[in-house]
Amino acid sequence: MSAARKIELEDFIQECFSENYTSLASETGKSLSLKQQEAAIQQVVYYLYRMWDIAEKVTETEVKLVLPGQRTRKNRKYNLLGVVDLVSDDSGTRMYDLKTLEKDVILEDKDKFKKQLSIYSHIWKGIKDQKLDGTAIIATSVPSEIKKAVKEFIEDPEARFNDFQSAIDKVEPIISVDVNETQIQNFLTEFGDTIDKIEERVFTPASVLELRTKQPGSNSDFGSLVCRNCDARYSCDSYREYIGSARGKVRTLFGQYWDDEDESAESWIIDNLYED
Amino acid sequence: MSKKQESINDLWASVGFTPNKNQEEAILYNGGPLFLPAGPGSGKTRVLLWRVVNLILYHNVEPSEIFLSTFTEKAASQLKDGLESYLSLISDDSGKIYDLSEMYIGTVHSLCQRLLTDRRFSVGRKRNKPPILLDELDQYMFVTKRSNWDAFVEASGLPKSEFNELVNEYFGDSGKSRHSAASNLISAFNRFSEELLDVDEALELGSDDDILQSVLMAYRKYLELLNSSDRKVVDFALIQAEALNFINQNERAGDVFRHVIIDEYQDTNYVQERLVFRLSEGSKNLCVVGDDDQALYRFRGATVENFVEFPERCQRDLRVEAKKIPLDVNYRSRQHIVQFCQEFINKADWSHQEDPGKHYRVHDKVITPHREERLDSVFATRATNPEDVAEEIAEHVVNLLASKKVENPNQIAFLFPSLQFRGEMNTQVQRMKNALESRGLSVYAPRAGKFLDSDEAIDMFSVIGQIFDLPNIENELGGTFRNFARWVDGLKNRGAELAAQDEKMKSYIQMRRDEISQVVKDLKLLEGTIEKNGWAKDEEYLPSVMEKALSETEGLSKKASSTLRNKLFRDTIQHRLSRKNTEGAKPPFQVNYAIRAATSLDWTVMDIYWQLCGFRHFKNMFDLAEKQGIEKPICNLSMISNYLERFVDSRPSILTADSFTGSRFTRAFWSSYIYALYARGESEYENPEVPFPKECIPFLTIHQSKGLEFPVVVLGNPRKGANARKIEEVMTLLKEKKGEPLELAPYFDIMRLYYVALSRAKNELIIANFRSRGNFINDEFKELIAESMCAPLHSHLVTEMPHAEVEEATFTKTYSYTADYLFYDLCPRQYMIFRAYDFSPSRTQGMFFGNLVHQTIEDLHNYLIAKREDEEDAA
Repeated sequence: MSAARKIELEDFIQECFSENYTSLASETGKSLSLKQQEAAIQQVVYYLYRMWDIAEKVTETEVKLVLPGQRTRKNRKYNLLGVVDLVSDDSGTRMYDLKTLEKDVILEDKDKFKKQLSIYSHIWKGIKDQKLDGTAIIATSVPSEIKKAVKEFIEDPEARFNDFQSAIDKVEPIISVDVNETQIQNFLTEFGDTIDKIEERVFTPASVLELRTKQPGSNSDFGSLVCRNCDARYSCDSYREYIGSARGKVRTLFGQYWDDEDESAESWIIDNLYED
Repeated sequence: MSKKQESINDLWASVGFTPNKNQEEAILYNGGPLFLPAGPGSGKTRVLLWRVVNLILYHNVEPSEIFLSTFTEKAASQLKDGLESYLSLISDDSGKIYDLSEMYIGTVHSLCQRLLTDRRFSVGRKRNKPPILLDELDQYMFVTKRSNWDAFVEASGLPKSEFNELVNEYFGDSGKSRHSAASNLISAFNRFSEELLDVDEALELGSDDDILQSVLMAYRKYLELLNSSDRKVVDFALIQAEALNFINQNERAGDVFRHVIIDEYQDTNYVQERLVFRLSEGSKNLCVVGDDDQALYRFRGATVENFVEFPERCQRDLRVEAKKIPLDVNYRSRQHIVQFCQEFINKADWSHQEDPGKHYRVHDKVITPHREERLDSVFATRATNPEDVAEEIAEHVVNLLASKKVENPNQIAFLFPSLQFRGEMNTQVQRMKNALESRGLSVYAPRAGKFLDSDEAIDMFSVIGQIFDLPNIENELGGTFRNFARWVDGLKNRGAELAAQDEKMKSYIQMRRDEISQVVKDLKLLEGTIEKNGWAKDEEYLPSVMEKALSETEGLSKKASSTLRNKLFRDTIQHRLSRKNTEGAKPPFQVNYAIRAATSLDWTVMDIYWQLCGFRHFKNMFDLAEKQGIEKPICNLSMISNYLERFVDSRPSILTADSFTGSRFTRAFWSSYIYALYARGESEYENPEVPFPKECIPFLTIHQSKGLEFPVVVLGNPRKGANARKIEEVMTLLKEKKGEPLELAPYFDIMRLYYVALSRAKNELIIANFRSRGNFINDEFKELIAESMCAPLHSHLVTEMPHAEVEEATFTKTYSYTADYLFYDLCPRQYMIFRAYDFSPSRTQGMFFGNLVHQTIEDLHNYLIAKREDEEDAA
């Protein structure tokens, strides 16, 4: 990559990033803290430089692939949708799925993602009548050991470029996934079964047991990682039971009033308070 | 395709479709502009469907080269479904799958949004940033926003105290209501935009009309305000103009689509006409389908001349002749109904006033019935007062159901010109509803009622009203305001009642009220400290000088004090201070900001909503859906969350003490936002997948019934007067157009409106024959009844009716791996609430982060793709 082009791209990223931020903020009415914004732009920069060979070759981005005419085991018709990035060149067509997760989290839950990519490549095969030559996940979350280098590079690209380059060379964001042809039918059946449950309005919440289970790549349980971000938790039987029995929590939490939103409140106020 | 699939005739044979001669010709024609005047029930949807199938299969047209617009999203998804199922017949044989996601199919509005980001039109493949789109309610809120409204008044040059009244009077309303004035302005603004009005030219043309000058000046201000933020903002009318401007930047805009097909073309407006002609300039394959006799939307700027004069305009703009193929066999209705419709529409004299031999409609059409059953099918009640008419009809409905000639009440539709009058249920509608309900029948009339009158809305807003003070509305005001005052009074009682039923909820309410009082008290104390030290509220906030004094103010709450001493807060302040002299950096925070932070609540109205949902009364509504599949309460609760989200998103979301001093919040929330929902008569929840719930008799507006058909149709109110609308006169002046004469257009419109209603019926059509003091029906109906065109309902033998099968509509839904499968897998209940019932979350930030990264990387990819293409082009 030439120096001129790099600078041009950096400007482009900054410009797009702030435009996207502004439009997402106005569409959703939400905002991100400065720290979160920094983390987001770090992911983009990390991706661009570390994955340059792929980024520059991407032929179609965020393509919506729809495979019509699917049926569940209960004979419900549906169309199957997936969104992917594609690279086509002389050596064939490869599919990439970008995830803003940490690599370890993905590795720990690899089967789940394998299922996803198997289904996506099945859609591709169905529509295009040709096989894919490779499938992989790209973890765009910046690994903790190189966060500092990425941060410093963004602040002063000229001076920090070499350190940055050698830092990113040491990590590998690509997780290649072997699509499992033989299991695809099982995956599709599972997918269809879920559709049937949705159509039949089976909406029982995750069980208390699940709420107490540690999540892949994390020390926290489902209750604090997932439920705490769910507004519907106050009216949820599982969560009520979970919080009522959680050690160290006050049992009266739901007895008198709620009080489990807490530490993030300060930064939330600062991020959202208006100025004159 | 692996093997060349037989021919389209074989496909037709395999699905049992035998087109008539004209249908076949319309499907296969492939030689430039095509004009398809299509009568009611003439199978036009099928023709469109097969036309597209034929293009894709036998003319190598890619789905991405087809632009097909329909009148509703639902019609679009039905067409798409039909296409998919026919194309899959081919796939079964050849193995080739046709992906229609690249095909343009939807309403003109949604296709305009898509055009705006379509890189085939942009110069250099760069993604065009689409403008932010305001829907109707957003637009209303934007126009009535105090500062914007004041700007319109000022721009208009009219005295502020008389502005509303003058505007209302000009558009034919009376009174000082700001709601009416806003509605009048909005519909004028929309019309100006749809006609691509040049304001300067219009000011000149309308220079003799003072109020018009004022309205135009207000419109200019409106456009200016929409353009004043960083990102362009447009309304539904302007997005079309925006799309037209956008594609016009590209010289080859006329070559992108090989086929442009427009359904319901009689209801397109000027800007839409310009758009579709521009898109078909290259290929000239512009196919329009419609029925001028069914034109319904003049009040939204549609001009039926687009359709009637289509052949001339093709000649003028595309310089080629349009092929006209009438679709004139009615497959829907029994013979008597078809005849009656013809007789009805022929009651009007459609001949052109100035141009003898020409007509204001496609006049040479003869609709022939396919169902040649000679039995009576159109009935009129006895000529009597509305109460007795309603009784007679209700009694007949009972008989029909008992005879099993219709299987389900949802096959009997009651159609009315309107269901509401000034936000309340129309009297004739109320009468019919009562008569049916008194016989144990259920009526489904979501658009007759207000969403805010639903039990769930009353309950939720009543409890919210226990936390945030409800306004005191002076009762001497008239109309809508008085009704709103009554609604608010109802909330007060209900809220107290619900709180009394649940001790926990009661103490929760008290806790939140106490928090509000506390921040208000803290504000006073802090203001005292500021005054004592001689600081100004708008000076820089310097923690080193001020923090100690402020945070140690006597009597200040712990929470306020610790906010001021909070490290994150101090860092944020210092960060700005340290960059004070940096170019482009934001200025340091003011004292005001620090005070606001110290006196802010850490919850929003949305948070309150979600927490209230945890109390028994509301939790029960979730449980009903989760455990028993009872959906109505949860659907209405979801709507409340959507409306609250709009409120929270439209302003700074943090509540601070100054929101509550001088009742600013009460004004913004209750008197302005909730009042707007009330005055606009926002209607109840409707499930797009189940438009006509089983076991209920649907009550529809005639507009709603467009494109639908029912075994039995009751015309519930055959009385509507023709009122000229001021805006038509204005547009005639400003656009110097020669359309239908102003004195005839309102009459024509009513004829067309009723023609639509009458032609919805398949087996039986019933006309309510009102005749009593103050109650009567339009002359055309009177005459037709006098000419014995209707059989008397009371002598009608239900046994002679043909049996009407229930038709199950099947939709194929698209399910996404991440948004459906994974989401459901995570937690089915969370999926239920946020995906199946579409509740608005309060502050979920996870998605925001991911979307931001993905979008930026997507932009980056597109940028690189464009670069590469440019380089390849250059090489």
